Amino acid sequence: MSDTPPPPAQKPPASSQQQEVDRDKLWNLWFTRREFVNVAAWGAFFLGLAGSALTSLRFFIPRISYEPSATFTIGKPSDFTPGEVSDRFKRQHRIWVVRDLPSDGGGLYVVWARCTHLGCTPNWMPLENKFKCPCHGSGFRRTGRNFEGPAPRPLERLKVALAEDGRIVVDMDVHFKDPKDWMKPEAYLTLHA
Amino acid sequence: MPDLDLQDLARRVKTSQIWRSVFRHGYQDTPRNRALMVLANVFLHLHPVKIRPAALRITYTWGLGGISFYLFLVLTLTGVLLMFYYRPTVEHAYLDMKDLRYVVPFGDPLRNMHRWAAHLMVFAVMLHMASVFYRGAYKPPREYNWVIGVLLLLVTFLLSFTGYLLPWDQLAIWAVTVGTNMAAATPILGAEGPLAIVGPESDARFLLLGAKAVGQSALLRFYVLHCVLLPLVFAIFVSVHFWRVRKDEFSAMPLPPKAERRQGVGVEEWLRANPQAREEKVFVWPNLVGREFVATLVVTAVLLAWSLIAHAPLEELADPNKTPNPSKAPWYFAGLQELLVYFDPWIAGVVLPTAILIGLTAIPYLDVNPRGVGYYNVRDRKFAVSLFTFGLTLWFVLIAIGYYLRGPGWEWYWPWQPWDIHRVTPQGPLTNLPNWAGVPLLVAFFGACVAVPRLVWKPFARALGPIRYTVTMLLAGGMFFVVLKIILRLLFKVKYVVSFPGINLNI
Amino acid sequence: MPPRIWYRLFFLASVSLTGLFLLMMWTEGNPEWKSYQVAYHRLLAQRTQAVATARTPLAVRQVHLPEFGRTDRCMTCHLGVGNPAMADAPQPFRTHPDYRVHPVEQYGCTICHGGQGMALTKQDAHGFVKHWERPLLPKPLTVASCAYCHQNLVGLKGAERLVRARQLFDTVGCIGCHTLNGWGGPISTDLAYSAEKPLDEFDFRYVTGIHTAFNWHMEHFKNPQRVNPGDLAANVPPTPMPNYRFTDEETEALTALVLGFAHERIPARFVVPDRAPRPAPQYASAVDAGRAVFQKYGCAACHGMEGRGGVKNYNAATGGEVPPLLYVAQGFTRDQLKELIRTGRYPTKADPKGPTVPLWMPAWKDKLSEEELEHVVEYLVSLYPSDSERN
Repeated sequence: MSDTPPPPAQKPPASSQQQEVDRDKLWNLWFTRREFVNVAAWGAFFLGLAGSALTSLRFFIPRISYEPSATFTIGKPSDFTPGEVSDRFKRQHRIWVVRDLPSDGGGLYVVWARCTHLGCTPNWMPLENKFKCPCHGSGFRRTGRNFEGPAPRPLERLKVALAEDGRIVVDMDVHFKDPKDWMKPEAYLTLHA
Repeated sequence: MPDLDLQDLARRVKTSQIWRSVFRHGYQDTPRNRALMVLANVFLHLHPVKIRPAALRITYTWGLGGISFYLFLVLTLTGVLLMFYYRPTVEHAYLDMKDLRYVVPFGDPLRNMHRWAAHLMVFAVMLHMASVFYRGAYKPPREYNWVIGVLLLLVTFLLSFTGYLLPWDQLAIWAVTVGTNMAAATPILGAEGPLAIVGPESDARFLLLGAKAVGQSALLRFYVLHCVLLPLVFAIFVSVHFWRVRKDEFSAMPLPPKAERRQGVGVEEWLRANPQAREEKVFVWPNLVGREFVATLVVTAVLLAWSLIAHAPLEELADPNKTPNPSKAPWYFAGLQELLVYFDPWIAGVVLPTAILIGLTAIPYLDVNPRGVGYYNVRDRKFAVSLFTFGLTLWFVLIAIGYYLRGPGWEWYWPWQPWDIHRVTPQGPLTNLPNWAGVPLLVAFFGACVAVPRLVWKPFARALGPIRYTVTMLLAGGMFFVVLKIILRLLFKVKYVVSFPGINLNI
Repeated sequence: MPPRIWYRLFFLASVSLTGLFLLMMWTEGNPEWKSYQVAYHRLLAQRTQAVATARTPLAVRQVHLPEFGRTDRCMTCHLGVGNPAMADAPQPFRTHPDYRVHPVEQYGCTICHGGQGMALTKQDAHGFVKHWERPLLPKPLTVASCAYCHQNLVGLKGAERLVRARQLFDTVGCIGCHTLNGWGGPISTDLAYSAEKPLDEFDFRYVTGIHTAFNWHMEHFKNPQRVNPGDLAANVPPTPMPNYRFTDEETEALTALVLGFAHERIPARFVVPDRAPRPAPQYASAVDAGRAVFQKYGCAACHGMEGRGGVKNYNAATGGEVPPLLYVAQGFTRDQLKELIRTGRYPTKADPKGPTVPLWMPAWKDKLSEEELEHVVEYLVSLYPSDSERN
């Protein structure tokens, strides 16, 4: 029999296709289900990978470490008189706490009591208004600037901050060697009255 | 006594099942066996069966890649042996190093060998990179392998840096402190860098050290990195590296005979005229393998001799409260440490090394000159060779200065001047350029680096295309900027060209 | 056929490798300590008539002391330390005197003697090498280590020198300028710090002997101005520490005393605390009490023993010297003296452009109680020489 196979279904004319599509407006998306599932699956995979990378990175930062604390508190600003260079924490923490007169800025800073020459601990001489190192005679102004003797550079300042309870927190890990950095807020605690 | 027929005994052993299961082929020197020695051996079949005679010339590669890999093997073996005695804790590390020297038989030469092989490997990989560059063996199709090589260079540096800490002496703790302080200067992610968004408890440096200062956490981390993670990474990448060498075909090209070379016949033209030259090959076994074997022996002998003569340094026990003067980073970072005189830490320690790595990685993609692959050619590659040589020289000069010419206080000391910790240098005043001058100057400099060469070398600029050209000129400009800034600092006492202290950004 | 060079290299490299291995095995197989042990066993065999001893197997010996953080291997060569038969043997084999008092098995060696205990060659173990800061102490200075454990040296056999040094310390008044364990004068360094500090914080430029901590201290005691001459160009005067002209014996004893001030890591069970009864001293008179105050605060350091003066003070307008106290009764009332001691005084410069005067009178108001002030002023007044003395 001349049974020719039926001609392949022709594409319905554009208008009728549009009609068909309009009826299924709810499903009128510009990608197929297969594409969506594919993208979703791979997307989830890469997101998971990124997540594991980030968690691995965070893994390396412990919430606390076993180091001795480099930060400590030294009381409140009101414990220090304006114009004073305090020896109170010299033995315990090897620092001087200096509070400026209002005419000099009125702020507070902490000087590390280690001579920049060979590492000895200088002494504060109030009547001569200077730090003097007993080892080889290096002399430093109350700001820490070296002006006499063999010290090659000024005494270093340490980071200071105010905690919420008003106490001064010193961080021995952060040093300010360059006088240009001394007026930074981390090195100089500005006090109001 | 019964007659011992050795020949019959040998025959019976060699035809036994056990023997034949291991040794699949004979050892007689036939072409077939020469092929099988390579093909049928898991280690040797990395090689092809035959290679061009040009590849055998030692002056082609100087064996640097092979030497680097062999040193890695030596380091692995000596390292594993050292691991039987070394404990990565603050209480034990230093004493274990002393025990290795005095109590462990052959511990002293073993430890020395590990240290010297490490230094030699860092040096060898740098020379290997230079050699590959000068031979053009990074050009298509070998760009990918060059990138893998740069990665391997980085891993080698990291391996050496992590290992440096393990003896836990003053040299170790302070070299690593200097190095990790540069990490703290990373922009954004470093607590002391420009635009920092994290504090010292969670910045890039804390990530490396597990703490704010170099201590037990850092020692343990560096130990794991040094002994497990980085060698694994290295092994993976080096396998890819070797695979690519084979897949991209070993680059050595046969050269025209001397007479023709003297006449000025180019290699590419000669090869086009004599295509059969490329096909002439010789057996890898024994020609290449034999040379590799002898090279291994020579390197081992030199290394062993040096290990018996020269003691690897071990200074006092690490003391975090006392900084030696001077405190130097390991020699391969001494150049970057020298740059700290002229640039802020975030530039000298982060931006410049990153730029160097990016620049190196980009080389195969920026170089469109097809000439000079598989042989040394300066004449046809003047731009590439001069730029690379300039950079390489600058790198080694900075290392030499940082290592040999800097003494206490990082002051300049000629080799004949004794180090004097009491020497006080009067600090001459340094000036900063005002930003209204510095910023335009900076922009103008880099602008000129991009704009001017294309006017002078038009065909060169056109061949590169706009993107490649701009990237190349910016990278080259960066390199020249480093030198310029050094001159500005030394001659004109300029500290910063551009300075924004509020965000800690100074150039 | 590869070029000849490869065959030559193969031969050269293989022969070198074999040679190097043989060299290495020979060096490792014949360490220095073995020859010492052979010599010792031979000597011991001779002395004890036990021939077999000469064939004792050679081995490294050590004492592992985790509490001290040390491992000492000195007895690998110093084999005779516990053997009384070796009392007259040459070093390194000689018996250690009074061996049973501090046996090596419990204490090791380096805690008293210094040196690099874990090393196994003579030079390394004795510690006179780069990067080892505590080399072997010379014999007279070994007594310094007694102070690490024994908090009271009085009556301790063998530590008589240290007791005498302590007396000298108190008489001369070192505590007037130096601090020790939080007590003392602000003029100069802390002595415990001085005993512990790393080598590169010493100034060895003017030291003629070996560059070790103990030698620096010895030369400094002998002649402080030579070791610490200051730098007049930088306006730093020479050290104001007087040259007491100590004898060699006194110098050694004082050096041992100072070295003993270091804080060593000693497990608690080894510490011998000071349990000597110290009743509050009774003084016959206010003058005697004042004399005790004078010593307690080290006033002699600047004003001389019994206030006699003689201590130089560079560029001081007071005649280049710290004023003696013999005549204070004439120039000051008691109240004036008390006020002076309370507030201190800075001397004026003789040459205004010259260096800052190194010695000054600190303010004692926070340190001396009123009672002590009373007593010391009485003492000072009593220093005024009698008519007969004046003539």
